[in-house]
This record gives sequence, structure tokens and C-alpha cells, in this order.
Amino acid sequence: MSESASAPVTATAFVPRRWVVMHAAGQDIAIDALSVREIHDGWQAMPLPGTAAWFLGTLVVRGRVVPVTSFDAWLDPEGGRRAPPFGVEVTVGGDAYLLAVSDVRHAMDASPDREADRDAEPAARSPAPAGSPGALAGRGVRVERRTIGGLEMDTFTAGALIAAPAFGDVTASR
Amino acid sequence: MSTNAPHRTSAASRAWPVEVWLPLLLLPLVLLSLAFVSFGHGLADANRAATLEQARERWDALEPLLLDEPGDAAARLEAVREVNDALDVTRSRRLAVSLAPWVRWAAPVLAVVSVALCLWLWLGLSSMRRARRRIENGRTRRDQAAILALLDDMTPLADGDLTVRATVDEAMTGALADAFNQAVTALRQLVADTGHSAKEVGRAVAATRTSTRALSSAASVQSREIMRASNYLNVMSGAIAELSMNATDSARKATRTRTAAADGRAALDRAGVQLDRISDEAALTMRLTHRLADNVRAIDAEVETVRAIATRSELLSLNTTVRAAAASQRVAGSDAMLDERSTSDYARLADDVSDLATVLGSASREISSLTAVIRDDADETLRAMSTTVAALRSGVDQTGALQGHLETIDTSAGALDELIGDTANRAARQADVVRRLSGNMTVLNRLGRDGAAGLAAASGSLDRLQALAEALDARVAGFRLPVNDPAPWTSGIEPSDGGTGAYEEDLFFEPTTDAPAAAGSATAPTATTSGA
Repeated sequence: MSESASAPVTATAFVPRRWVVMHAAGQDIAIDALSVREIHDGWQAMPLPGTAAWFLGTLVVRGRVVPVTSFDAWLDPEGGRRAPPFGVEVTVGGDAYLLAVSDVRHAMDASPDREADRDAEPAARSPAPAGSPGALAGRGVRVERRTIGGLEMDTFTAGALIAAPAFGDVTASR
Repeated sequence: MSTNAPHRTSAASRAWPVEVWLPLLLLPLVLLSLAFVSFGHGLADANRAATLEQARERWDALEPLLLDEPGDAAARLEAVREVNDALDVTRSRRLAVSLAPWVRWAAPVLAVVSVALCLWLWLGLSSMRRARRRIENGRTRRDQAAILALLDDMTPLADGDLTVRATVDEAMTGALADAFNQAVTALRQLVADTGHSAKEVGRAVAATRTSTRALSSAASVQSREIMRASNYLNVMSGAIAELSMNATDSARKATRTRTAAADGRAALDRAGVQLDRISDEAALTMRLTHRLADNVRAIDAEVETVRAIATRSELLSLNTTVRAAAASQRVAGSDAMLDERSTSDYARLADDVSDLATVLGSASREISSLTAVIRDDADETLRAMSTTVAALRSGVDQTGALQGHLETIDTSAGALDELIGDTANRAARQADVVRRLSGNMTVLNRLGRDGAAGLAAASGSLDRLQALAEALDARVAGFRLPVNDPAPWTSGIEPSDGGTGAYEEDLFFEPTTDAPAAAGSATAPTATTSGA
């Protein structure tokens, strides 16, 4: 039984994970699709006074008030206040957050062969994404480097993002 | 003065004596009386014969009446009375004749008187002839003495002495001496005048000779200048003839220009029609291009809609993917086969929707790219057509302006043709005039040469005239004149300044020795002096 059980496991050893790739602050950042509840567009946040420039306000989604964060402005505070068109609603423990990004698409993991190729031929890897690499890590978010859709980028989870102190402080002084 | 005495003597010698003029006075009276008497005698005889003839005719008429007894007594009585009257008349005339018997002796008496008067006249004439002969003899002796004295007075005149004077007295030669003195005075005046005139003539001849020489030189220069002017006129004639030919050629060119202008105008008319048609087609093309651009904009709007649909499809794909992932997460925590199938369907639907969104996005991008290209092409076409329409309008305007210019060229060419034709005609006439003028200059040249020759001959004649004047002066100098004889007259001839060459400054052309160029080379004459 255990062998029969391990056989399908071996047969399905590589199950590609689905990722939602966001483009923010000039770089591609991927988040696990399981952390995403829905992709929005055409939304209009209600601004709140006294908050940081990257905090766009709140939005009511399906009867719940959801805070909206401009992921571009949060990753690149020097760029000023920006309101990207797409909103990625993530959920962590029943709480929802909306991340406003410039673009969004979905992708899947690369096969292990590709991972092997990446380890064997570093020069053949795709170039680093535009923008400031490591900006997400610089904001205190734990990330992982992965090759998704043929591109190497930082990946993170919603929990890691919520756990970052810089994400929770929305006051204007920061 | 004393000349009246001889005249009186002559008159006295010519007076008739009484034995001459009295018979001459009476003789005509006697002869006239003799003629009158003879005429009256004859007239009385004729009257008597006529009266007798008349009485015989009355008697012849009375005789039948007397023989006719049954006739009228009154008529016979009247006839008798008429015969009686005739007899009375005859009687009265015979009475008148009988009363003048002296008439029969008048004629012989008058004839004797006439003979006596003729004899008396002959005697008187003989006496007068003898007395006149005696007077003539004494006068001849006095006249001879006076003539000898006059000859003595006139002898010095033969030696040229004009101071001589004859004695004037009452002799026969008194008047002659007076006339001689007057003649000598006139001769003295004449000699003085002749001498003075000879000197004046000499001076005048000298001045005239100088002037003649200057005139001869001037005539030579004039002839030379006339020759040069003739040559210039020949050159001018050639130039004018060439000008006339050029004008004629220009007139032909002007005519061709008018023809070309007319052809060009017709071509411009056709080009204007073509340009109008092209302009209309360009306007139509612009309208169509505008419509195409509008359609492209409508397509762009629809493409935006498709793009929005693609975006929404992409979002739908993403959300489906997210749901599929969430479903697979739930499947991983359960054992239901339906949920696994549902997860697979979610994933497949997400992929299909993603493919559809990708296709829609790609199609919308391609359509957008194509519409952008079409829009750019339409805009470029519109700009090009705008430029073309503007160029066509400018071309139409320029065609109109060019037609106006061609009309102006046609009009100007026509006027130019007329002017050139008139110029050619005038130039031809002028060339003819110049040719005739050249001929006239040739005649003037010949006249100038003849004048120069005549002046040269006149100069020779003046030389001879001066020699004659000098000889005359020398001859007049042989006469002796009174010392205090005043100059008879003063000459009006002013000495000549002997001007030579003054005319040179009045020449219009600088006299040079070289002849002007031939008719082929038209060299302009050199205008120099201010006298012109």
C-alpha cells in the first residue's frame, strides 16, 4: 500500500505550481496562486487621510472592507504616489488585502530539468528583471528565487508579506 | 558868259529882209483869190445849165396837156404856172450874172499880180545871199585866230600835264575852251580816281587773293569732309539696310511668337481642363480618404472594445486559474473524484480562457497595428492629397496667370510685329534716303572740287588783275596833278584779315588724313569740336 501509494507519488513527482506574476516597481514578482483570491480591475479605492503615500485607501469587496496598497509605490517609495490599474486580492487567515500592480499574468513552475539546467549553466539563465532586484527582500519580506515561465524572479507568499513590519505600518510618517 | 555874242550875230545874220518876207506873205493870198474866182465862175455856169434843163423838161410835160382839149383846165393852168415860175428863176439868174461883169477880169489880174510877186521875191533872196556871204568871211578869220590860241593852250595836255587851262573869251572858241577846261577838270578827277581806284583795286585784289586761297583751302577740306561724310553715309546706309533686314527677321519671329503663344494658350486651356478634372478627382479622393480615416477610427474604437474584452478575458483566465488552484488545494484535502474532475475542468477552462485572451489580445494588437498603419497611411495620403490639391489650385491659378501672360505676349508680339514692320519700312525708306543723300554728297563733292578749281583759276585771274592794277597805277602816276587836289573818294574795301583755317574749328568731325573705313566696317565718327 505504501509502495502503491509511493508509486503515484513518484509518477506525479513534479506537479507544476501555478503562480500569479505581478509587475511592480519595474520588476516581476510572483506570488503563489493559492494566496490569491481574485484579480480586480476598474476599482476605485477610498483614500484615507494621514496614511502613507503607498496606501491608497480602502475598498469594499463583497461586503468586506479591504485595504489597498500600491505595490509599486511600496517597493519604490521614491517614485511617489501611484495608482496602478490591477488589483490582486490576497487572503491571509481570513483577512483580505488588495495589492495594486501595473500588470499581472499567470505562469507555472519550470520543470526540474530546467532547474538542473539553471544550476549547470548559470550563464544560460534569463537576465535579472528590471527595476531594483531584491526590493521585496529589502522591505523585509522573505522571498525565494524561482524560475517561473522561463524567467527567474522573486517569489513570496501572502503570509510573508503580511509578516513584514513595513507592510503593516500605513502611517504617513513612514 | 561871253558865248551870247556869237549867237546874237548868227541870229542877225539869219534875219530875213522885207523884200523877202513881204512877197512870201502876199503871194499865197493872191493865189488863193485866184482859185476862189475860178471856182465861182464854174459854179455859175453849172447852175445856168441846170435851170435850162429843168425848163425844157417842164415844157416837154406841158405840151401834151396843151394838146389834150378834154383835159382838166385846172391841171393845165397849174402846169403853165410852173413853167412860168421856171422861166422867172432863169430870168433872175441871168440877171445876177449880168450884174457882176468885173468877175470876168478878176482872174487875169490876179495872175499878173502873182508873177510880180514872184519876181520881187527872187530879187530879195539874191540880196540876202550876198549880205550873208560877206558876214561869213569876217567870222572865219576871227575863228582861225581863236583856234590857234586854243591849240597853244592845249599843247601841254599831250605831255600829261593836267594843270593846263584854256583861256575863255567871246571868240568862237570861247565855249570850246570852256568845255576843254571842264573836260580837263573831269579828266583830272578821272585820273585821280583811276589812280586811287588802281591802288584800292590792288589792295582789294590782294585781300581777295588771300581770301580766295583760304577759300580754296577750305574748299579742299570741304571736299575731303564731304567725301568722308559720303563714306559715312554709305556705311550708315549699309547699317540701316542691315537694320531693316533684322527688323524684317524680327517681325517674322514676332509672328512665330504669336503663333506659339496661341498654341501655348490652347495647350493651357486643355491643361486647365485636365487640372480641373484632376482637382475634382483629388477632392473625391480626399473625401474617400477622410471617410477611410473615420472608419479606421471606428475600427480603433472597436479594437479598444476587443482589447478590453481581451483584458477582461485575461482577468477571467487569471481568476479561473486562481480558482483552479484553490480547488486543487481543496482536492488535495479530500478524496472526492468529482472535485478532482472539477479542478481539472477549472484548469482546462482557465487555459482555454487564457488562450482565448491571448488570441484576442494578439488579434486586437494586430488589428490596432494595422489600423495604425492604415491611419498613418490615410493621414499621409491626406497630407499628400492636401499638398496635391494645393499644388493643383496653384497650377490652375498659374495656368490662368500664364494664359494672361500669353495673351499679354500675344498682344505685345502683335504690337511688336507692327512696330518692327513699321521700323523695317522706315529703315528701308531711310536707307533709300541715305543712299540718295550719299549721291547728293557725291554731287556736292564734285561741286566742291569744281569750286576749288574755280577758286584756283580765280586766284590766277586775281594775280593777273593785280598786275593790271599795278600797271594802271604806274600809268596813272605819269599824269601831273595839282598839288592840293583833295582825294576824290575813299575806298569802301576793308583789308581782309587773311583768315586761313578758321573753318577748321567749325568742323563737326575731326579732319584726319585717313579715309573712313569701307562700307563693311561701321566705325563711329569722332565728334570733337564745340562748334557743332
